[in-house]
Order: sequence, then structure tokens, then C-alpha cells
Amino acid sequence: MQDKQEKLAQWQQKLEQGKARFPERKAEFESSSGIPLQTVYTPLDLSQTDEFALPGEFPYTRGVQRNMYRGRLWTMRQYAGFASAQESNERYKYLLSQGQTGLSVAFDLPTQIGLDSDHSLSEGEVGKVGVAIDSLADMEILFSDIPLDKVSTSMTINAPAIVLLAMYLVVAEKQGVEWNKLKGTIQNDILKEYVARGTYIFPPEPSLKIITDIFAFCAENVPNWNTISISGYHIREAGATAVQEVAFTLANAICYVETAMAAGQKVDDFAPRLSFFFNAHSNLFEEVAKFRAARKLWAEIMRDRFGAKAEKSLLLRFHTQTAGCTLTAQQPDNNVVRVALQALAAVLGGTQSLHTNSRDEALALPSEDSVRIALRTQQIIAHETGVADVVDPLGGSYYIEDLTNQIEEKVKDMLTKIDDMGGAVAAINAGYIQRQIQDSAYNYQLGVERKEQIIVGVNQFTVEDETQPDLLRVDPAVGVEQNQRLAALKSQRNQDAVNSGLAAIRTAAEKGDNIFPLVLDSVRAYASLGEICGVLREVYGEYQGKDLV
Amino acid sequence: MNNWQLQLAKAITKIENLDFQALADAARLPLDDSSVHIIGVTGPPGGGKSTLCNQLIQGLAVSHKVAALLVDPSSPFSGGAILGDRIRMQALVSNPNVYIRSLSNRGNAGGVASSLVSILRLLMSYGFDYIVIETVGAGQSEVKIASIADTTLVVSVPNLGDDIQAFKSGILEIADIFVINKGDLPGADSLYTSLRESAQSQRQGWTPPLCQTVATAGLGIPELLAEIHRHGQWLGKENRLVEKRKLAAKFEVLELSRMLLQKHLDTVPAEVLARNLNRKDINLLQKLDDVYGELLNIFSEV
Amino acid sequence: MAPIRVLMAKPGLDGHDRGAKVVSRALRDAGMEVIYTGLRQSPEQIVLAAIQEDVDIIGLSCLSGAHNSLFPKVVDGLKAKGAGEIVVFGGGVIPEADIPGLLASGIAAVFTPGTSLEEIVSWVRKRVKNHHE
Ligand SMILES: Nc1nc2c(ncn2[C@@H]2O[C@H](COP(=O)(O)OP(=O)(O)OP(=O)(O)O)[C@@H](O)[C@H]2O)c(=O)[nH]1
Ligand SMILES: [Mg+2]
Repeated sequence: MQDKQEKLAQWQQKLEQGKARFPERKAEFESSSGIPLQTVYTPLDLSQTDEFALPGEFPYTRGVQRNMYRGRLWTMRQYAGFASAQESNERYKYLLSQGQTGLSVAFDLPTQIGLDSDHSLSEGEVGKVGVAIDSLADMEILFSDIPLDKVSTSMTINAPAIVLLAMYLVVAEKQGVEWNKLKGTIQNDILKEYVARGTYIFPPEPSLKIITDIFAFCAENVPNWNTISISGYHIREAGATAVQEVAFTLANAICYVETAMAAGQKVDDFAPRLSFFFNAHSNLFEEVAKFRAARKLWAEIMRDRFGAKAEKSLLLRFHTQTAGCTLTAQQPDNNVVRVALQALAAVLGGTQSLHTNSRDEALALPSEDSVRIALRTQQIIAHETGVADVVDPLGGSYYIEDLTNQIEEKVKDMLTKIDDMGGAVAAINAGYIQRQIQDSAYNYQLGVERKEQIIVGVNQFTVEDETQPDLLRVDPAVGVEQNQRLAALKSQRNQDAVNSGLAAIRTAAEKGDNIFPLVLDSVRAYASLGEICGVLREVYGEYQGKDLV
Repeated sequence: MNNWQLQLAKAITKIENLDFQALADAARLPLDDSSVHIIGVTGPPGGGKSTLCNQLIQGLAVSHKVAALLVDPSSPFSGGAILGDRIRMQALVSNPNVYIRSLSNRGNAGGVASSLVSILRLLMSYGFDYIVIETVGAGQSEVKIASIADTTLVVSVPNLGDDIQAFKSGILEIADIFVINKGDLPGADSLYTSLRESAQSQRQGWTPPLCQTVATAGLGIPELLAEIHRHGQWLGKENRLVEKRKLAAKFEVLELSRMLLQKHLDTVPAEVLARNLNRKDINLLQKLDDVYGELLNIFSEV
Repeated sequence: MAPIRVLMAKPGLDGHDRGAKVVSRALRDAGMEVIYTGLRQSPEQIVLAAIQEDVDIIGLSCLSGAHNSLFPKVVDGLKAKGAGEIVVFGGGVIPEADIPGLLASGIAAVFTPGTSLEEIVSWVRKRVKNHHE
């Protein structure tokens, strides 16, 4: 020890002498979260208390399974969906035929906000960022010829998640698939909508109530469904640093657990179905360390704070998407490289599933060619690089271990701060989390302006006269057709059944009963998404944005 | 149809920018219209002032014309500002009875803009029945609103630390009505009790009432509106309103002379200043007998 | 000097406001007064707010692809209410091919991802100055 320190001191002296003659590129080096970086890391940086850590064992820093990808590779899951249910259905079948192993449904904004396509605010938005779903009829088309017991489906849906999940369950019913055979995830993470993504409908309190309804219903009836995907992804996209991403995500997760427990559910009944969703940025080692730290923190929180006993409750299982906000409209082919490196970080960090962005996503919806390259990127990492052959291959790296510890400490500090404020909802209400994210976003941008942060092709290494590649466009007629279909449906369905179904939802919502079974009934009667959410809007009220700048 | 709003908005901008003609025009408009009720809302940052104003305006606008002036602080570095109070009033924008205008305090420490009273004169001439002013949530130096508004609402919220201690000096004295907002949060009742014990003293025949609200849910708003009316009626008696408005006019004169002087001083070119300071006949190190004279010398272009 | 007044708005349903907020801060730090109206604004609401606030210029941000139907509605609405001299610019995920159409409909400039803040700030300054002259 003494010996090593002396050696290091001598080395540092020489280093300084060298620097005097040849200065370094920057005065200070730091990670994207502002963690100062040493020139080199040595065994002296390994924390003294580090146990002999193994994957698949508490605190799971090195992975949630013992053999990880040696057993099964991560799920390659590309987020897709646009225009009509018909067109999206075709894209899904194409992706499955290309070797994709899970579906990931993108909904358009009216659907995400619980509005029908014929609502005045939906104008111009129908089918734009995802598929338009107005009723069970659309959902039936979306999954036609896709056996729901054979795929796992992830749905990016939050405020109206209960309605879309109900539609999925009814489609399964009609396919003759039992609910306990269904696998998949709904995002269902409302708290990050308030701070980062903006597709909220109801205020926090009733929103959390709906989420607990879903937890309870699924624990009993859809046991293999992941009832929430607690998402740091969008928090990061909104500008947060890696450390903030983990801290705010875990703060939200803590709130969900507390809410469900306060509603009388046992932690080990629902916690195994909690899943997470993170972002993979380009700062490779910081990202890997981030995933490792998050796993450890969660295991400790679940065990020590909530007294979880079941091993499955302790595991932070997560989906990863590469960072949309790092994609550039300039020289878009460079994005393929960015995505590859980010995907590598996710795999080295032990992700359970992965979406790789398409190179043209900073320009428009991805084209079919671009989606294929993105999927191929994952396949190359999986099958050609060998990184999936050893579990946690970076574990033991002096640098990675130190970074993991530093991130963990910083996240703990932030969590304490949020706890002191009264938890995630209080911190959101006070605007604290929003302000933190906005500050980081602005500081990052100022760094880009000053060229402290180089973005290849944007503020350096630019080319003149770029031409844009062919882009996918959504036919504006989608909106019109969708409205016609909805009008036709409304004239054909049994209106009495719809009316009484909606009335039953209203009563249950007013009484505070679990609304899930009643939503199912209304969905079966082809009540529209907008009608169901409309009733809930009347009972619960609407959230007023807490935007601040 | 929105022509009057266009016109009004442009006239306000001119006053804000201390355009001399616009100020002179405004000065010719009366400030003593007793059919207009000016309501000031002050309180700590994030206390729910904008949310509360949204509710009040919604209530008032059912049968009256309402104007709202929302003041936010300017950045001390750039002089620019982000004016965000409007976000809480999104639903009011298309209400034909309502006009909403965001103002920067342009560095004025008083929590309001210097030209505020001139803007009030202008608004009165447009036939508004109510004018609601939200001040900067700075806490301390907000007493100026009390010189301007007929009725001053002081908003407080639970758990800002040591309840009454949380009130900076001076702010309790200016309240015509205390509003305890965020009544849904724990601590609201104890805040109510301590305010009633220590703050509610009679001033010139008016005991400021305490109103509890949950602005986000619209709770307590009818009661608050009723108190605002009661205070308005009380002001209507014994010449009280006229006295209030005189106070506002005094504020206007002082603020405007300060600002106009400042504006004038800012126009003296730096070279002139430097030259004057170096003049032989001005010796700043010596005892100054005629300090004003000297200052005038320094700032005048010769 | 009278500060430039800007309305920053997010028309449509898209909730990605990182860009709108970063630009708002940059304009503030350049000495402008920025009125931020929040998410989910209809073109009609944006027009009315701009008139009440007497802004010189409106910035619209949209990342959902609805720009072609939403942006021109703001320009038309301003004209219909006699406020056609308010300049409107836009930004967001906007394909190059859409830009000529937007410009033709009266949008004064379109800033796509990667534009520097400095470029936006100086464009706004120049544009408003020209327009005041
Ligand atoms: N729980 C609760 N929150 C409230 C209440 N009223 C307002 N809020 C919340 O408090 C926060 C601040 O509200 P604002 O209305 O912007 O407060 P403000 O005093 O105008 O803030 P500044 O203008 O920034 O000083 C928002 O998130 C509101 O939703 C209330 O009665 N109860
Ligand atoms: Mg406010």
C-alpha cells in the first residue's frame, strides 16, 4: 500500500513536469455529470469496502442474472408505430420477420393525451409520432395476425395506460390467448410526464390512484405483465445529466412503491413487476457506471427502505434506448456510429432490452432502411463483437468501479434532498426537478456554443451544402380516414352499452373503487379512448402544467 | 374585434418604455374613478399567486371586465426577463372580458414596474371594472404594492419555515386581506391560528380578514371574492378610496421622476462624463459646498 | 432602449419543451423579455396572447410533425386580427422539404436542430430592428 502510494506520487510528479512542457487539451477533465476525472485510475481507487461482488447476487451491481447474455441475449425491441393501425401492423410484421424479438408500440399524441382523432386539438397530430388508436377496433387491426402469446409487447403509454392495456387484454381475449400468457410492459410512468415529457392528463393524486389500480388488477389477472416502466429516458432527453437521470428516476420509483404500499398492497406482490427504462448516451464509461450504480441503489432501497424479501423485488431490470437528443440532422449517417457506441454502453451495462435509434430520427420518422440498420447494429454487437460472452466485462476496471461509486454517492445525496422536500410529488410541485433539468439543459447548450462540447458535424467538422436523405412522411389523409372510421364505429356500436359502461366508470371513479374492470367493460363495448378519458377528466380534473423556465 | 386590445397593448408598451408622450397622455387620464377596483396580490415566490389570480379573474369575469398585470423580475445580468405567470392562466386568454399583460419590473426593487400607475390610468380609461396586479414574489420589498392597490392581498403558504417568522418585516402591515393558500397542505391550520393571533390587528377601522384557499382546486374563492367586495365597499366610505388613490399618484410622481432622471442620465455620453470629471474647475477631492451644482455640472453637456 | 418582447409558444400536443426553454433563456440572457405560454396551445390562443402582450416576435416550437398545419394558422390568425406585423419564426424537427412551404406561408425563418443559440439571438435582433425601422 505504502509502496503503491509512493510509486503513484513519483509518477504524478513526472506527469506534472511533462504537463508543464506539453499542456493537456483542457485544464480540467470531467464526466458529463461533472464528476472530475483523474489522469489514470489505479487499485488505490477501488473502494476499501468493495466486497467480492458477483453478478446475480446482492447488490446486483454486476448484473441481475448470474450468466446474463450467455443464456439469452437482450431483447431487441425497436419502438415503432405511425399513421394508421393498418400501416403499423405491417411494420411490426416486417420487424418480426427481420429477427426482432419484441414489439414496441408508439402512439400518436392525441392517443397519449386521451383525445380521439376527431377532437379539435388533434388536428395535424393524428398518426404523426405514432399510431392513432381511438377504440378497440383500431387495436384489433394493430395486432391482427400477431399471436399475442408469442411476442412481448411494450407500449409507450402513460396517462391513459389503463385504457390501452384494457384494449390489449380484450384483443388477447378475442385471439383466445389467456391473460397469464401475456408478456409485455406499459410505460405507465406519470411522474416523469410532469417533469420531462408533457403527455399528462390528470393531476398527480388521481394519476397515482389509476397506477395503483393497474398494479392491483395485474398482480391478480395478468401476472407476467410489467405494470410500469419507470423512465429516466425522457428526463435525460429533457437535459438531465446521467446522475440526475438516475436520481430522479429512483425518486419517482420510490413514490410509486410508497403509494402502492399505502394502498395496502404488499411490496413483494407488485415490486417484481416494476421495470425501468434508461437512456444510453455517448460518454461510454459514465453510462456503463450509471447502469451499475442504479442496480445497486435500487437493490438497497428495496431491501432496506421497503423491507422487500423476494429476490425479484430487488432487481432493477431495465430497457434502454439510445439517446435521441444526441442525433444530429447534419451528416445523419454519423448517427449510425453514435448509436453503435451508445448501444455498446447499454450492453456493457447489462440492459434487458434495447432500442437503437435510427440515423434519420433527428429529421423525421425513421424510414424502413434506417430502422434495419439500427436493428443490425444490435445484431452486430450481439454476434460479432464478443462483448456478450462474459458478464459485466468492465467490472473490476479501476475507473469503472470508481465512477460507479461516485455516481452512487451523488445520487444518494439527491435522493436525500428530495426526501427532505417531501418526496417526488412535492419536489415536482415545487418545480425543483424541472428547474434542475432545465439548468442542465441550458448549461449543456452553452457548452456547445462555446465549443467546450464538440458535436461532430454541428459545431466542428461541418460540411457545406448537405442534402437530406429521403424521409418517411405520414400521409395527411390519415387524420381524415381515422375520423371517418371513428364516425362509422359510433353509428354501428350498441350505444346503450357504451352509455352504461361510461356511467359505471364514473361511479367507480367517484367512489374510489378500482376502475380497471369497468374500463375493460367499456372497451369491450367499443367506447372510444376519448370518451373514457373524458369521463375521467370530469371526475379527476386536469393537470395544469407547471412549466417554468 | 380585438382592435381595442391591440391598441391598449401598444399603448402600455409605450408607457413601459417611458415614452414621454405616452406618459404625458396617460397623466391626463383620471385615477380617481371609483367604479374601478384595483386588487394587488403579493406573497412569497411560488406561493400560488398566479394560480390564485387565475381563479379570482375567472370569478370576476363572469359579469365584469377584468384586466390583469403580472409582474415578474428582470434578470440583473442582462435586463431581460422570462415572464411566466401567464402559464397559470391559459384558459383565460380567449375570454373576451379579460385582458392579461405580463410586465417585467425592469430592475425595480419594489416588486412592481415604475410605470405601473400610469398603466392603471390607461386601463381605467378602457372601462375595466377590476384590475388585478400580481407582484414579483420577492418577499421583502413588496410594500410598494400597498401604495398602488386599493385592496392588497397578502398570500402565505404553510411550511415556509417558522410560520410568522417567514413574513419579512413590513409585509404583514400592508395586508388588507390575508390569504392562506395551499390549504390542502399540512400546516395550514397552524398558520391560520398564528396569523389570527399575531397579525390580525385593526388598522384605521379595518380588521384584515383571513381567507383560506386551495387555488389549484378553486376552494375558498367565493369567500375570498366576498371579502374583496366587502373591503371595496368599506373603502367607498369616508373618502377612503380617494386617499388610497392619492397615495398611488404620489408613488407615480416619485417613481416616474426617478426613472425619467435615470433615463436622462443614461443618455449623457460616456465621453462627456469623462471630460467633465477631468475638468479643472471640478475638484472632487475637495470639500463640496454645492453638491447639487457640482453634479449638474458633471452631467451636463458643455 | 426598449427591450424586444418575444412570445415563445408550443402549439399542438407535443410535450418536448427542452428546445423552447433553452431558447427562451438565451433570449432572456440577450436582454429580451420572453413570455412563455406553456404546452398545448392552440394557434388561436397563441395569437390572442401575442396581441395582449404586444410582442414583436413569436417563436413556435414543434417536434411532433404537426408544423405544416399549425404554424401557418398562427400567421393567418395574426393577420385576421390586424396584427400581421408581428414576426413569426419556428423551430423543431422540421424536414428541409417543408421549409419553403412554411416560408411561403409567412413564417419568417425556420431553425432546425443544431442551430446555435447565437444564430437565433442575432437573427431575432436583426429581424426586429429592421421591422421597427
Ligand atoms: N398544493 C397546492 N399547490 C398549489 C396551490 N396553489 C398553487 N399551487 C402550486 O404552487 C406552484 C406555484 O404556483 P404559482 O401560481 O405559479 O405561484 P406564484 O406565487 O405565482 O409563483 P411566482 O410568480 O413564481 O412567484 C404551482 O405548482 C401551483 O400549482 C394550492 O392551493 N395547493
Ligand atoms: Mg406567478
